Amino acid sequence: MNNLNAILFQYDMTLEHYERYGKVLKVTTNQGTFALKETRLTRDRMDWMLYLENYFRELKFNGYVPLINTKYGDTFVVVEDRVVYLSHWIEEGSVNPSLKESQMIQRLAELHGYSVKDHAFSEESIKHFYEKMVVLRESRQFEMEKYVNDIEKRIYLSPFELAVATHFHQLMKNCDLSKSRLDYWFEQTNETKRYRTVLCHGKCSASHFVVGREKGYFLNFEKSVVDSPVRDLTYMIRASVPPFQFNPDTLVSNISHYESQFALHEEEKDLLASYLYFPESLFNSVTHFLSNQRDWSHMKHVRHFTKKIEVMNGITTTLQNMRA
Amino acid sequence: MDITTVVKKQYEFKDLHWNHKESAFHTHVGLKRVNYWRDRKLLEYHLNFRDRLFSKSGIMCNRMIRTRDGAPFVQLGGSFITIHDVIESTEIINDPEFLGFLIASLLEVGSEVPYYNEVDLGEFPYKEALKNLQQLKHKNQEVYSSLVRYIPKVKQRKSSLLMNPTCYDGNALKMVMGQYYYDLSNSLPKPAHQVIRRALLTDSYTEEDRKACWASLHNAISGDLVDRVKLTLLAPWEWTDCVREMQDCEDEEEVYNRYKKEWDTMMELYEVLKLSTRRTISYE
Repeated sequence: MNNLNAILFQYDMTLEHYERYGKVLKVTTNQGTFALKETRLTRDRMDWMLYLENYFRELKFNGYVPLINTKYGDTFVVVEDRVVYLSHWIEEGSVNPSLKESQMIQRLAELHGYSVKDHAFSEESIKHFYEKMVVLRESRQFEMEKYVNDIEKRIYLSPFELAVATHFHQLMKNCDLSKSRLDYWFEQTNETKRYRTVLCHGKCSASHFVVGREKGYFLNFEKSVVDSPVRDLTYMIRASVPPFQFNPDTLVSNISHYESQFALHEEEKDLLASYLYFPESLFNSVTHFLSNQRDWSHMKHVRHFTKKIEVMNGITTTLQNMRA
Repeated sequence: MDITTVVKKQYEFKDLHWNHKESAFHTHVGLKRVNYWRDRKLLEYHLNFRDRLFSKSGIMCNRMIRTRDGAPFVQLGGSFITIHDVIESTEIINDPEFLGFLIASLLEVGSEVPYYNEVDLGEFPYKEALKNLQQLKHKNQEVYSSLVRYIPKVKQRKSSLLMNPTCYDGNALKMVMGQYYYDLSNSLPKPAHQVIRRALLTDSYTEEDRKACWASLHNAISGDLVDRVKLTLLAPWEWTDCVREMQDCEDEEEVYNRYKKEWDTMMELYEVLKLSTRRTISYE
């Protein structure tokens, strides 16, 4: 960031030192240490994040790192086509990963509990959502079927193509499982006639959560949305499952931990299972391989795909055991 | 309550000391100037203007530093105080392109922030000038006749599509942390034509600088405001100013000759900018 000093001038701070941690800069200034994030946000997203800051204050929810205003009262500093915001830097030190995960689940359940909102049941909107999901998933499935049909015509397959072709049957099986659980959800929701939403963090994972002074805080609500709690849970479960060392007990205990704070409705469990069965992240791996925007090596794509397969297998087995 | 106590209480500054020489406070985060305001509407205009200037164009300026509660000013009886940065910069900045961009930004912000004094919304004072001209008939017939001969051209050049007044205090650019910083005074907004002309006629500018400044202004201003800027610049302000000044002057010939020069310059510019005689813009 070339104009770091000019940005910090907005906060009446003088830069002493900075280090980059992914997309975040850890800036040490004469006023202390802060996290400076440069990102792209639309005006609507900025307004949404400002709204969230007030919303959390009203709810007395303290499981997030608040943003710091400039001396002129701005929460965001616009730099050309980007937006910069500042928050306190929370030094994690050496935190036990399982303790961090446990705190994150606790905080997520709190966030969902604080923000839960029951909606008047609308058969039409539930049907619309169901149909939209079915169409979206079928079109993704169709894309993948087409891809596999194309590669199977070849005599020699690349390692990535071979990996996809080998696991394709399994992927389709998961799609069917996902569809059947979505059907259950649709039937049950029409029976129970209830639907609720919560504030979803949107990217709930260990990289967006910090533990400091024995408390855990969420970072980065840029992708937050109002949706079913299942959205966050799906993301969190997928992100927290370590490949090649999957432990079904951990997944079960994490879900139980979450449910001890914020119990899911039966139909929400079906929706969660439906989301988790659907191999979206594997389909995304194929899309990434084809576009290769990140300029990965072929073997990196293969490793990435194989890891995702392991995660999917682990989750699928656990879900089937839980059902049994 | 003295000002130091008020600032200490309302703002998050530490180690506050009043500096007589600078008329500012030394604080733990540098020098801060106190501005006094009597007119709340003018203060609110400047507050909105400066905030919008930064958010729209990214140009840093002397915005109001917020209090502990996030308020942009503090009320003290019937008046108000605001606190601003003091930028100590001795560097003389000669950047006609940036000046053009600055003027475009100031004009755009001026057109968005409503000016509270509705009497002076940048309307071209043609009727008022005609009235004044009638009074001149008895004072100096010859000058009167000369000024009347300008009326057809005045009608061609005048327009009701003018830019709103805006804030401008000359080419007072400063540099802070490698970025330009514009210090605005607390004065009333100025008519847009004066702002544009003053910028283009900066003494130190060469012909090339003026062209660069105008090109940058023209490029930076939003498409729908380009025509209004041209019409504002080319409206026959020198004619109305001349008629107004004639009312109380002693040497009408001297005033007439002075404004005639300005008129001729503006007519040349008028031709350059290719405004047709039917008062429609011909796009070059």
